[in-house]
Amino acid sequence: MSVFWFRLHPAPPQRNVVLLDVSRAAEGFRPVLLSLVEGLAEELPEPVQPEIAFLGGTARYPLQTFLQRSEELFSHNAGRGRVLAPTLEALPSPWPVRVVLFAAHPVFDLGDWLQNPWQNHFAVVALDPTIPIAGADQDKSLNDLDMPALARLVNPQPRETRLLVAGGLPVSWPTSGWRCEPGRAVYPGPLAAPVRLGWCVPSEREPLKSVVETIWENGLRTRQKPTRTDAPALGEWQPLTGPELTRLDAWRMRRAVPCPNCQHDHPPGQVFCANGESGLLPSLAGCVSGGFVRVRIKTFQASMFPVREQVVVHSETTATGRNADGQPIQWEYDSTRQCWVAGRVLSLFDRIHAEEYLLTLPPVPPSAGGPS
Amino acid sequence: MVPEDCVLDRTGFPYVPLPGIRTAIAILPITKAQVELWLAEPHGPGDEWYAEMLTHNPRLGWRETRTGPDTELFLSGLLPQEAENFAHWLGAGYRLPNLAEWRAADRALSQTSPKWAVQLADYLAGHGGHPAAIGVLQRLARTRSASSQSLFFLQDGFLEWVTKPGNAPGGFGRPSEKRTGGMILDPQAFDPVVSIRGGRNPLFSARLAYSLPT
Repeated sequence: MSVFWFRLHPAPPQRNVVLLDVSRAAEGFRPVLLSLVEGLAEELPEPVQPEIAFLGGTARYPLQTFLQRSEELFSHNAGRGRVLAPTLEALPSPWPVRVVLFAAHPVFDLGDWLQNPWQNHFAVVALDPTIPIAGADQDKSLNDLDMPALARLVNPQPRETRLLVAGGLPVSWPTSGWRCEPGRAVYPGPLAAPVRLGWCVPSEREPLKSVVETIWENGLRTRQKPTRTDAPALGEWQPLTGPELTRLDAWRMRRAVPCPNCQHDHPPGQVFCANGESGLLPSLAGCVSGGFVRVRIKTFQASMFPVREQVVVHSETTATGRNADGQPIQWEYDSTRQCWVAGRVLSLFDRIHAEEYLLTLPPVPPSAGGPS
Repeated sequence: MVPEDCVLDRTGFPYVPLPGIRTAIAILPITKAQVELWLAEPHGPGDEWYAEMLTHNPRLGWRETRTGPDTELFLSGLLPQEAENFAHWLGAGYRLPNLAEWRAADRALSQTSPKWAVQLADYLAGHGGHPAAIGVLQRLARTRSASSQSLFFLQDGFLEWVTKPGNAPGGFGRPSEKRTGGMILDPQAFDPVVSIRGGRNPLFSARLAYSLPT
């Protein structure tokens, strides 16, 4: 079993493409096309302004260059036939996330490009709402799009970011927003900053198969290799005090322990008093809520290791995480099915090795100052 | 013939040199994919012209996954002058073949094996062939593997315009009897077929020749 660390970065700004129909039939729409491009220049910041191309042509122009030379470029390209292949075949691979075609009349080879793997890249805007281009149900109409909506159409945002690791179990991820389960870690939206995620993978599933998938608003799914990164600095085993050893010893025998702080008995695993203090195990003050603490209990000494990850790996095929209700559960790797399966629910203070126990801290400690 | 001897036109479609003469001949009749590259030019033939051509023989895109007649991959119904116009756009040396050249091409291509078409497609993939040329050849190698004549559209294809000194262009080929009204054609033995009606006829297409530089 190895733990692998990945760093995921926000998706880079997308330089998408806008195609303009300059066929003879579209001649009357030239002022409309120009004002659309001007509108996009106002609506979108430079790093995400699309490149402009003419339907049928192979050249693409930065938006600002296009605006500076629009008259010359329009007259140089006027009369191109309504075919997509020359333009689309000249696009770099992988394709831009979005290609938006503004067309006045049907395009001869449009059907070739409204199927996989291109269909989700593609959006068609009919310049004349009475003349369908891709079909009435697929066309966007200029009448229905204000400039912000058009800018959004040209520059869709990531809807979801996923890290998929075959046979892996996420062990560490940023606390807010991520949904993690065996094989996948999902963030519902674009990443605002780089994040680090840790995964444990049984040795039989190496070499590692991993991929970052970005699901865009237009339904497109793009994939890239994740970047591996170093593991964060390891914590250290910290000694517990003699009275703490005595109390843990009692818990080990499944006995409740009277708390010097609240004077109530704490059953095994109940670290906090009702007022949020930890009079029973003061050394745990400062441990992360909802985290795990590994505890080693020997005859004359006890020590603890606060776990920074959300999942604790115990062996080649076992780990402890939490279920949807926040209870600690055991994950077990099933070699036959080649996946992780949820096992038994653990107690809050559960034995994981001969001398080692796992203490599960509550997600939110009781509020300090409350009734004891 | 070996794939390495092929020359490519500006659309990336292949021509094979014919034995004994300084002429190369297109492997296939003019495809719609080629004509669409011409159409995309600012001074191309125009959308109205192409739309009219498609009324005679609908379009099947080589990328499309739907099944359709292979004949719809090609441009037919075109007039000899339109074929010459397209050849002119391709560049100097491109033209309609004459009667002898077409017959030589018919013999040369008929002697290849359908496997050769696959080898050619593989070669084109690494040597600047247009994806459409590769895609069409791969498709025909699947759908028309019975013989090279069929695969290269010399059989069950079109009547292809050829020039004959002192005569109007005529058509050579072996379209299916169903399309010729039961007429069996042997271009190696008989003169080219002349369209009596004139005007567009979806049975007519063209396979261009290229005069190799001396």
